[in-house]
Amino acid sequence: MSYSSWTSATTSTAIPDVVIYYGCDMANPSYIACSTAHYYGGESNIVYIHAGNTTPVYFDSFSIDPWDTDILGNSYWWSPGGMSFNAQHYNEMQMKIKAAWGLWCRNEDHLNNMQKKIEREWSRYLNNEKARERQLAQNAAEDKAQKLLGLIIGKKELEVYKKTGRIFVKGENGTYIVRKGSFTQKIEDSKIVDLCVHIKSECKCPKTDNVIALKVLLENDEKHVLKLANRIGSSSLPKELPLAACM
Amino acid sequence: MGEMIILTHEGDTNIMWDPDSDKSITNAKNKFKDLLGKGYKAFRVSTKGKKQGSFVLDFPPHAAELLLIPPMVGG
Repeated sequence: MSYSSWTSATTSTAIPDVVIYYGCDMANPSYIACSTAHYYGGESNIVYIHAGNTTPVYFDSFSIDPWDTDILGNSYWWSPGGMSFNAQHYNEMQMKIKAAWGLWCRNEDHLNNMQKKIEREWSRYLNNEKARERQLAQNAAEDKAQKLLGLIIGKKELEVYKKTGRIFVKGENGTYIVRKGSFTQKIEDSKIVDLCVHIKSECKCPKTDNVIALKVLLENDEKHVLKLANRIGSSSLPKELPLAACM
Repeated sequence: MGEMIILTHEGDTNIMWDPDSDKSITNAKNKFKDLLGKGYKAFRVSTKGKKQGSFVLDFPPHAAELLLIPPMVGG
Protein backbone atom coordinates (compact mmCIF):
# COMPACT_ATOMS: atom_id res chain seq x y z
CA MET A 1 0.00 0.00 0.00
CA SER A 2 1.34 3.38 -0.91
CA TYR A 3 0.55 6.66 0.71
CA SER A 4 -1.33 7.94 -2.33
CA SER A 5 -3.66 4.96 -2.39
CA TRP A 6 -4.26 5.39 1.31
CA THR A 7 -5.10 9.09 0.85
CA SER A 8 -7.51 8.22 -1.84
CA ALA A 9 -9.17 5.59 0.28
CA THR A 10 -9.71 7.82 3.27
CA THR A 11 -10.48 11.17 1.73
CA SER A 12 -13.04 9.71 -0.57
CA THR A 13 -15.07 8.52 2.38
CA ALA A 14 -17.16 11.25 3.99
CA ILE A 15 -17.74 9.25 7.09
CA PRO A 16 -14.47 7.59 7.86
CA ASP A 17 -15.40 3.99 7.60
CA VAL A 18 -11.85 3.09 8.32
CA VAL A 19 -9.56 2.35 11.11
CA ILE A 20 -6.35 4.26 10.89
CA TYR A 21 -3.35 2.68 12.39
CA TYR A 22 -0.86 5.28 13.24
CA GLY A 23 2.18 4.04 15.00
CA CYS A 24 5.50 5.53 14.39
CA ASP A 25 8.74 4.65 16.06
CA MET A 26 11.16 7.29 14.87
CA ALA A 27 14.07 5.45 16.41
CA ASN A 28 13.31 2.72 13.95
CA PRO A 29 11.47 4.44 11.13
CA SER A 30 11.38 1.43 8.88
CA TYR A 31 8.73 0.15 11.26
CA ILE A 32 6.36 3.03 10.98
CA ALA A 33 2.78 1.92 11.11
CA CYS A 34 0.58 4.16 9.09
CA SER A 35 -2.16 2.46 7.25
CA THR A 36 -5.86 1.88 7.06
CA ALA A 37 -8.35 -0.86 7.26
CA HIS A 38 -12.06 -1.08 7.13
CA TYR A 39 -13.69 -0.57 10.42
CA TYR A 40 -15.64 -3.42 11.83
CA GLY A 41 -19.04 -2.55 13.23
CA GLY A 42 -21.56 0.20 13.00
CA GLU A 43 -19.73 3.11 14.61
CA SER A 44 -18.44 4.34 11.34
CA ASN A 45 -17.74 7.87 12.53
CA ILE A 46 -15.06 6.70 14.93
CA VAL A 47 -11.46 6.61 13.89
CA TYR A 48 -9.10 4.59 16.01
CA ILE A 49 -5.64 5.98 16.16
CA HIS A 50 -2.82 3.99 17.58
CA ALA A 51 -0.29 6.59 18.51
CA GLY A 52 3.25 5.66 19.37
CA ASN A 53 4.83 2.39 18.45
CA THR A 54 2.42 0.02 20.11
CA THR A 55 1.64 -1.76 16.88
CA PRO A 56 4.59 -1.41 14.62
CA VAL A 57 3.90 -2.82 11.21
CA TYR A 58 5.83 -2.37 8.04
CA PHE A 59 3.95 0.11 5.93
CA ASP A 60 4.63 -1.13 2.43
CA SER A 61 3.86 -4.72 3.20
CA PHE A 62 1.04 -3.96 5.57
CA SER A 63 -2.06 -5.90 4.95
CA ILE A 64 -4.91 -6.39 7.33
CA ASP A 65 -7.90 -8.54 7.35
CA PRO A 66 -10.79 -6.07 7.86
CA TRP A 67 -12.41 -8.06 10.60
CA ASP A 68 -9.51 -9.85 12.03
CA THR A 69 -5.99 -9.07 13.13
CA ASP A 70 -3.00 -7.33 11.68
CA ILE A 71 0.08 -9.10 10.44
CA LEU A 72 1.56 -9.08 13.92
CA GLY A 73 -1.47 -10.83 15.27
CA ASN A 74 -2.90 -7.79 17.07
CA SER A 75 -6.65 -7.23 16.91
CA TYR A 76 -6.61 -3.71 15.65
CA TRP A 77 -9.27 -2.25 17.90
CA TRP A 78 -7.88 -3.97 20.98
CA SER A 79 -4.36 -2.77 20.59
CA PRO A 80 -3.05 -1.04 23.68
CA GLY A 81 -2.56 2.68 23.45
CA GLY A 82 -5.56 3.09 21.18
CA MET A 83 -7.25 6.47 21.26
CA SER A 84 -10.67 7.34 20.02
CA PHE A 85 -11.40 10.30 17.83
CA ASN A 86 -14.67 11.31 16.40
CA ALA A 87 -15.19 12.48 12.87
CA GLN A 88 -14.60 16.13 13.76
CA HIS A 89 -11.01 15.35 14.49
CA TYR A 90 -10.61 13.48 11.30
CA ASN A 91 -9.09 16.27 9.20
CA GLU A 92 -6.77 17.20 12.01
CA MET A 93 -5.63 13.62 12.22
CA GLN A 94 -5.20 13.50 8.50
CA MET A 95 -2.83 16.44 8.79
CA LYS A 96 -0.95 14.79 11.61
CA ILE A 97 -0.67 11.57 9.71
CA LYS A 98 0.47 13.40 6.60
CA ALA A 99 3.00 15.29 8.71
CA ALA A 100 4.18 12.03 10.23
CA TRP A 101 4.42 10.52 6.78
CA GLY A 102 6.39 13.50 5.57
CA LEU A 103 8.68 13.22 8.57
CA TRP A 104 9.09 9.54 7.90
CA CYS A 105 9.96 10.24 4.29
CA ARG A 106 12.44 12.89 5.30
CA ASN A 107 13.84 10.52 7.88
CA GLU A 108 14.08 7.86 5.25
CA ASP A 109 15.93 10.24 2.94
CA HIS A 110 18.10 11.26 5.82
CA LEU A 111 18.76 7.65 6.73
CA ASN A 112 19.49 6.76 3.13
CA ASN A 113 21.91 9.66 2.93
CA MET A 114 23.44 8.63 6.23
CA GLN A 115 23.68 5.06 5.01
CA LYS A 116 25.42 6.19 1.83
CA LYS A 117 27.73 8.41 3.85
CA ILE A 118 28.54 5.54 6.20
CA GLU A 119 29.21 3.25 3.23
CA ARG A 120 31.46 5.90 1.67
CA GLU A 121 33.29 6.42 4.96
CA TRP A 122 33.65 2.67 5.46
CA SER A 123 34.94 2.22 1.94
CA ARG A 124 37.41 5.07 2.48
CA TYR A 125 38.48 3.52 5.77
CA LEU A 126 39.03 0.14 4.11
CA ASN A 127 41.00 1.75 1.27
CA ASN A 128 43.12 3.65 3.78
CA GLU A 129 43.73 0.45 5.71
CA LYS A 130 44.75 -1.36 2.52
CA ALA A 131 47.04 1.52 1.57
CA ARG A 132 48.53 1.51 5.07
CA GLU A 133 49.12 -2.26 4.88
CA ARG A 134 50.67 -1.87 1.42
CA GLN A 135 52.92 0.88 2.75
CA LEU A 136 53.97 -1.25 5.72
CA ALA A 137 54.74 -4.17 3.38
CA GLN A 138 56.73 -1.85 1.08
CA ASN A 139 58.67 -0.47 4.04
CA ALA A 140 59.44 -3.99 5.25
CA ALA A 141 60.57 -4.98 1.75
CA GLU A 142 62.77 -1.89 1.50
CA ASP A 143 64.33 -2.65 4.90
CA LYS A 144 65.05 -6.17 3.72
CA ALA A 145 66.60 -4.90 0.49
CA GLN A 146 68.83 -2.49 2.41
CA LYS A 147 69.99 -5.32 4.67
CA LEU A 148 70.95 -7.32 1.58
CA LEU A 149 72.78 -4.33 0.13
CA GLY A 150 74.53 -3.97 3.49
CA LEU A 151 75.77 -7.56 3.16
CA ILE A 152 77.16 -6.75 -0.27
CA ILE A 153 78.77 -3.34 0.36
CA GLY A 154 79.35 -3.45 4.10
CA LYS A 155 77.81 -1.53 6.99
CA LYS A 156 79.87 1.61 6.60
CA GLU A 157 79.00 2.08 2.94
CA LEU A 158 75.39 1.21 3.68
CA GLU A 159 75.25 4.19 6.05
CA VAL A 160 76.47 6.45 3.23
CA TYR A 161 73.87 4.94 0.93
CA LYS A 162 71.14 5.52 3.50
CA LYS A 163 72.14 9.17 3.73
CA THR A 164 72.60 9.84 0.02
CA GLY A 165 70.57 7.19 -1.80
CA ARG A 166 73.50 6.82 -4.17
CA ILE A 167 76.07 4.16 -4.85
CA PHE A 168 79.16 4.37 -7.01
CA VAL A 169 79.60 1.43 -9.39
CA LYS A 170 82.52 0.60 -11.67
CA GLY A 171 81.81 -1.43 -14.75
CA GLU A 172 84.30 -2.88 -17.17
CA ASN A 173 84.34 0.29 -19.26
CA GLY A 174 82.47 2.95 -17.40
CA THR A 175 81.71 4.44 -14.04
CA TYR A 176 78.22 4.98 -12.77
CA ILE A 177 76.24 6.52 -9.97
CA VAL A 178 73.24 4.32 -9.31
CA ARG A 179 70.55 6.26 -7.53
CA LYS A 180 67.65 5.01 -5.47
CA GLY A 181 64.41 5.78 -7.27
CA SER A 182 66.03 7.85 -9.99
CA PHE A 183 68.03 7.68 -13.22
CA THR A 184 71.36 5.96 -13.24
CA GLN A 185 74.15 8.33 -14.19
CA LYS A 186 77.05 7.36 -16.40
CA ILE A 187 80.11 9.47 -15.81
CA GLU A 188 81.83 10.33 -19.05
CA ASP A 189 84.83 12.55 -19.76
CA SER A 190 83.10 15.88 -19.55
CA LYS A 191 79.53 15.05 -18.83
CA ILE A 192 77.09 12.96 -16.88
CA VAL A 193 74.58 11.00 -18.92
CA ASP A 194 71.25 10.04 -17.40
CA LEU A 195 70.24 6.47 -18.19
CA CYS A 196 66.82 5.00 -17.59
CA VAL A 197 67.03 1.30 -16.84
CA HIS A 198 65.36 -0.59 -14.06
CA ILE A 199 63.74 -3.83 -12.93
CA LYS A 200 60.44 -4.44 -14.70
CA SER A 201 57.83 -2.52 -12.77
CA GLU A 202 55.52 -5.58 -12.70
CA CYS A 203 57.96 -7.13 -10.23
CA LYS A 204 57.21 -4.31 -7.76
CA CYS A 205 60.60 -4.73 -6.16
CA PRO A 206 61.70 -2.22 -3.54
CA LYS A 207 63.86 0.63 -4.81
CA THR A 208 67.02 -0.67 -3.19
CA ASP A 209 66.60 -4.01 -4.96
CA ASN A 210 66.86 -2.02 -8.16
CA VAL A 211 70.12 -0.54 -6.93
CA ILE A 212 71.43 -4.04 -6.09
CA ALA A 213 70.39 -5.36 -9.48
CA LEU A 214 72.09 -2.49 -11.34
CA LYS A 215 75.25 -2.79 -9.27
CA VAL A 216 75.57 -6.51 -9.97
CA LEU A 217 74.65 -6.15 -13.64
CA LEU A 218 76.93 -3.17 -14.31
CA GLU A 219 79.82 -4.98 -12.66
CA ASN A 220 79.22 -8.20 -14.56
CA ASP A 221 77.29 -7.43 -17.71
CA GLU A 222 77.70 -3.75 -18.43
CA LYS A 223 77.01 -4.15 -22.14
CA HIS A 224 73.64 -5.72 -21.45
CA VAL A 225 72.64 -2.79 -19.21
CA LEU A 226 73.76 -0.20 -21.74
CA LYS A 227 71.87 -2.01 -24.46
CA LEU A 228 68.68 -1.83 -22.46
CA ALA A 229 69.11 1.69 -21.09
CA ASN A 230 67.54 4.75 -22.65
CA ARG A 231 69.68 7.85 -22.64
CA ILE A 232 67.48 10.51 -21.17
CA GLY A 233 69.79 13.49 -21.21
CA SER A 234 73.11 14.76 -20.09
CA SER A 235 74.65 17.54 -18.07
CA SER A 236 78.14 18.88 -17.68
CA LEU A 237 80.37 17.13 -15.24
CA PRO A 238 80.51 18.99 -11.91
CA LYS A 239 83.85 19.83 -10.37
CA GLU A 240 83.09 17.51 -7.55
CA LEU A 241 80.98 14.39 -7.80
CA PRO A 242 78.16 14.07 -5.29
CA LEU A 243 78.77 11.86 -2.27
CA ALA A 244 77.83 8.25 -2.85
CA ALA A 245 78.53 4.89 -1.24
CA CYS A 246 81.52 2.88 -2.49
CA MET A 247 83.36 5.89 -3.96
CA MET B 1 74.15 -25.26 2.25
CA GLY B 2 73.51 -23.43 -0.98
CA GLU B 3 71.39 -20.32 -1.03
CA MET B 4 69.42 -18.67 -3.78
CA ILE B 5 68.63 -15.01 -3.11
CA ILE B 6 65.74 -13.92 -5.27
CA LEU B 7 64.85 -10.24 -5.56
CA THR B 8 61.09 -9.98 -5.19
CA HIS B 9 58.43 -7.46 -4.23
CA GLU B 10 58.95 -8.55 -0.63
CA GLY B 11 62.60 -7.56 -0.64
CA ASP B 12 64.35 -10.82 -1.19
CA THR B 13 63.31 -14.40 -0.79
CA ASN B 14 65.83 -17.05 0.06
CA ILE B 15 65.78 -20.64 -1.04
CA MET B 16 68.27 -22.98 0.57
CA TRP B 17 69.38 -26.33 -0.66
CA ASP B 18 71.52 -29.10 0.66
CA PRO B 19 74.26 -30.03 -1.87
CA ASP B 20 74.23 -33.56 -0.45
CA SER B 21 70.55 -34.10 -0.97
CA ASP B 22 69.31 -34.94 -4.45
CA LYS B 23 65.76 -33.99 -3.57
CA SER B 24 66.83 -30.64 -2.20
CA ILE B 25 68.96 -29.96 -5.28
CA THR B 26 66.10 -30.93 -7.59
CA ASN B 27 63.70 -28.55 -5.85
CA ALA B 28 66.18 -25.67 -6.03
CA LYS B 29 67.06 -26.50 -9.61
CA ASN B 30 63.41 -26.46 -10.64
CA LYS B 31 62.91 -23.06 -9.05
CA PHE B 32 66.09 -21.82 -10.71
CA LYS B 33 64.90 -22.99 -14.14
CA ASP B 34 61.47 -21.52 -13.58
CA LEU B 35 62.92 -18.10 -12.76
CA LEU B 36 65.35 -18.10 -15.67
CA GLY B 37 62.40 -18.94 -17.87
CA LYS B 38 60.72 -15.79 -16.59
CA GLY B 39 63.67 -13.64 -17.60
CA TYR B 40 65.61 -13.61 -14.34
CA LYS B 41 69.38 -13.50 -14.50
CA ALA B 42 71.45 -15.56 -12.12
CA PHE B 43 74.79 -14.55 -10.67
CA ARG B 44 77.17 -16.38 -8.46
CA VAL B 45 77.81 -13.85 -5.72
CA SER B 46 79.30 -13.38 -2.34
CA THR B 47 77.55 -11.30 0.26
CA LYS B 48 80.83 -10.85 2.06
CA GLY B 49 81.53 -7.72 0.10
CA LYS B 50 83.86 -7.00 -2.77
CA LYS B 51 83.10 -7.33 -6.42
CA GLN B 52 82.39 -10.88 -7.26
CA GLY B 53 80.05 -12.47 -9.60
CA SER B 54 79.61 -14.30 -12.77
CA PHE B 55 76.73 -15.23 -14.98
CA VAL B 56 75.23 -18.59 -14.31
CA LEU B 57 73.11 -20.32 -16.89
CA ASP B 58 73.02 -23.81 -15.40
CA PHE B 59 72.17 -24.51 -11.83
CA PRO B 60 75.41 -25.04 -9.88
CA PRO B 61 74.57 -27.43 -7.02
CA HIS B 62 77.76 -26.64 -5.19
CA ALA B 63 77.61 -22.86 -5.41
CA ALA B 64 77.36 -21.15 -2.07
CA GLU B 65 75.25 -18.19 -3.09
CA LEU B 66 73.29 -17.23 -6.14
CA LEU B 67 71.56 -13.92 -6.71
CA LEU B 68 68.59 -13.93 -9.03
CA ILE B 69 67.74 -10.60 -10.58
CA PRO B 70 64.35 -9.94 -12.18
CA PRO B 71 64.21 -8.90 -15.83
CA MET B 72 65.35 -5.36 -16.51
CA VAL B 73 63.93 -2.86 -18.97
CA GLY B 74 64.87 0.52 -20.34
CA GLY B 75 62.63 3.35 -19.24
